[in-house]
Amino acid sequence: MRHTGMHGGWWLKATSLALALLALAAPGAAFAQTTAEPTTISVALPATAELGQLVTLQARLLDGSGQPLARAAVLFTSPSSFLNVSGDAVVGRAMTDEQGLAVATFEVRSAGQIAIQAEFRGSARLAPARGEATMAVGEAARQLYVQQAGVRVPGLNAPPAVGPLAMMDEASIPSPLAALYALWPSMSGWPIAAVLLTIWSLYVFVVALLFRVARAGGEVRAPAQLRWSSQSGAAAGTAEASPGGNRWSQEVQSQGGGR
Amino acid sequence: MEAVSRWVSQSGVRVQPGLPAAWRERLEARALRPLVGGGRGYLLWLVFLLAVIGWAVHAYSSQVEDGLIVTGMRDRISWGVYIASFVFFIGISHAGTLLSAILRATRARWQMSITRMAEFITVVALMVGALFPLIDMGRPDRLLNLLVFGRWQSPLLWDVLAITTYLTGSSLYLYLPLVPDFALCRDRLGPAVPGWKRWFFQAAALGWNGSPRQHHTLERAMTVMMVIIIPVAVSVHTVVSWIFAMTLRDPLNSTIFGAYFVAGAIYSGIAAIILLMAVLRKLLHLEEYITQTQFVNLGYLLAEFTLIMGYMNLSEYVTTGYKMQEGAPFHFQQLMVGPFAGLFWFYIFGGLLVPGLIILRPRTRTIAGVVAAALLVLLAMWVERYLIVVTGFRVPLMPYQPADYLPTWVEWSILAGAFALFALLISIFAKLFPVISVWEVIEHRGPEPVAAARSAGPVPRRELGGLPQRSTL
Repeated sequence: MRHTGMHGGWWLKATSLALALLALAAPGAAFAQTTAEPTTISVALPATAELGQLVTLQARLLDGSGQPLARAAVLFTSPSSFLNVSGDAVVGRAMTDEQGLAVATFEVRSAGQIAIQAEFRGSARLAPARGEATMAVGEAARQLYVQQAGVRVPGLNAPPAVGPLAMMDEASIPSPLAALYALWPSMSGWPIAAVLLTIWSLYVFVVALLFRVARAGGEVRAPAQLRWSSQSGAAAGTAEASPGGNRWSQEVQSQGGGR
Repeated sequence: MEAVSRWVSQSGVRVQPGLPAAWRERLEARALRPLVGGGRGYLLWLVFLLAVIGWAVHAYSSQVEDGLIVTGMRDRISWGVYIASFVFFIGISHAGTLLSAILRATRARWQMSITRMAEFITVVALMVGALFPLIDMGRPDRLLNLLVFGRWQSPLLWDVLAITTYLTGSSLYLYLPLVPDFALCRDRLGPAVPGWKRWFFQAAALGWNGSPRQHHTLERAMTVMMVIIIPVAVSVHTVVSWIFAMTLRDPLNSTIFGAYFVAGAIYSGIAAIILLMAVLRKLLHLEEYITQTQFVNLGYLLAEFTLIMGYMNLSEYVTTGYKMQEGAPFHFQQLMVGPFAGLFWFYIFGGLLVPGLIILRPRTRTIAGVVAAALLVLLAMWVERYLIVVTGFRVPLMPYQPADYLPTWVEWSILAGAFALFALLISIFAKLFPVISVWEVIEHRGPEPVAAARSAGPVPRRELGGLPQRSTL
């Protein structure tokens, strides 16, 4: 029992020592985390923008010594709310380049003072950073979404494209064609219009045929060879007159038309 | 033209030599008799329908006064009974003209006696169905916005254009084969009808006398319309489906919606024709001309479409259910085991499986069986449209609590009014036009085969126009 007791005491001391060391190490580790290299991020925005404008968002990420940090992910967010839900909506993502610059584009969709935040979420070595800038967005007197819906087929409801689409910017279009190109999107409904025009033209043709039927009736009515006479009940000139026609008509009259 | 010259023209209709005169007389008598006046029962029926319509107008006036808040629709489920009924009525409108045109194009003679009813349904269902978007708008004055601010890119505008084009085409297609029958009314009814009706028949007959030239011109016009109306009809329901499929909603995000809606339209339309046939056959005593042949043949078509609809449902649910993308689990849950499970399984079993079995089993493939199957199909297809609309909108677009939708008395009243209007227009049309295309039956069909005619039962003597009753077979 004594021997055992000696061994038990040693084990207890070792465990206590290990716990003490662990207790000392924990704050150390926490301290080590808080001492990750600090970073700073700054956001650059245009001071003003118009509703619907495509705005370039820029953020520069620097380490503690002011050196740019490359290949770091930067998230651009903007506070927003819809119905009862509010939070930071992600409006862009970018990686920093050799100068520590992250660039993203964002289409402004609401007017007023817009806040844009750039966020670097940190890493094992680098501390997270967050920066914010604002811009004033004016309400332009135009629709935010114009001619965006639908399938755009070059040559059909969009200007015909020759070569890579990226080359078809307005500046490269020769001036005589520029007016036509500007007009083209407004003609986007013409395929539908063409189909409708074809169908309605055929309707008109059918109506014209009906007029022809009426005219043919007028031409042949005079001889009255093929038409029944409701008064006499006889078919003038008809080879096989229906003997019951007039009688049936009288029957209907006498019944008073009831079902 | 040689064939024409061999025939004998009587009352503007080309009659093949050897066609029993008594049969023709009886057909004309039966077809034209409903056009002469109306009994007390008919008037009471009209009064009842007008009362229902009046109640619906009252409900609609409360909606116009207070806004759409009187309905069950809110911001999250903003389409309900109105749009479901719109799709339903536009759907049943298809069978009419489409079926009539397809059967005419394929020279299926058995359908000659029912084409007129099919075309009636088209025009009437379009008239009623087109009212629903207007009712759904809440403020009817906003219809003008469609003209002022309408955009070619919007499926809503395509829908308006397609329906207008289809209604015009269907009306023309209804009118063309009516011309010789109007001439028949003009020549045969005479003073038996009021003056305004005589004037109407005179004007609508366009001086028809059945000359070869008139026949040739009319048949040409009918051929043109027959060819146009098929793609127009298909396009209309495709466009209706795009109203749903082009919204960013998970359950409606389907590439087969166009074909699915067209098939559903024909399916429900055939059922509507069968029901109308059954009603008019009974009321107007048309048993000799609308026989088991027409019912069974339409029943076969119905059975084929149960398979097509079943296949499309399977294809849709298997592909979306296999991927289970965002929104799909919620949709499947609400549809199959959730709050809409009863309606969904009624649609699957009552609308697809049972009608198919009724028609495929020889014992139940009777007139009564086909009518029962058609009734089930019609009910189930309204339910199917309701499910598409309501469950499609119920899947949340954002993380919010799913909304619920319960139609209010206003919506049910307007729906009842729409059905009453449908019945009213059919009832009025049945008094203005012969419900059977008399001249086409005489020229192209002739007497029904023996077995089918026997199923029609005896013909009351008083309807034979004084002719001795004799066998026409």
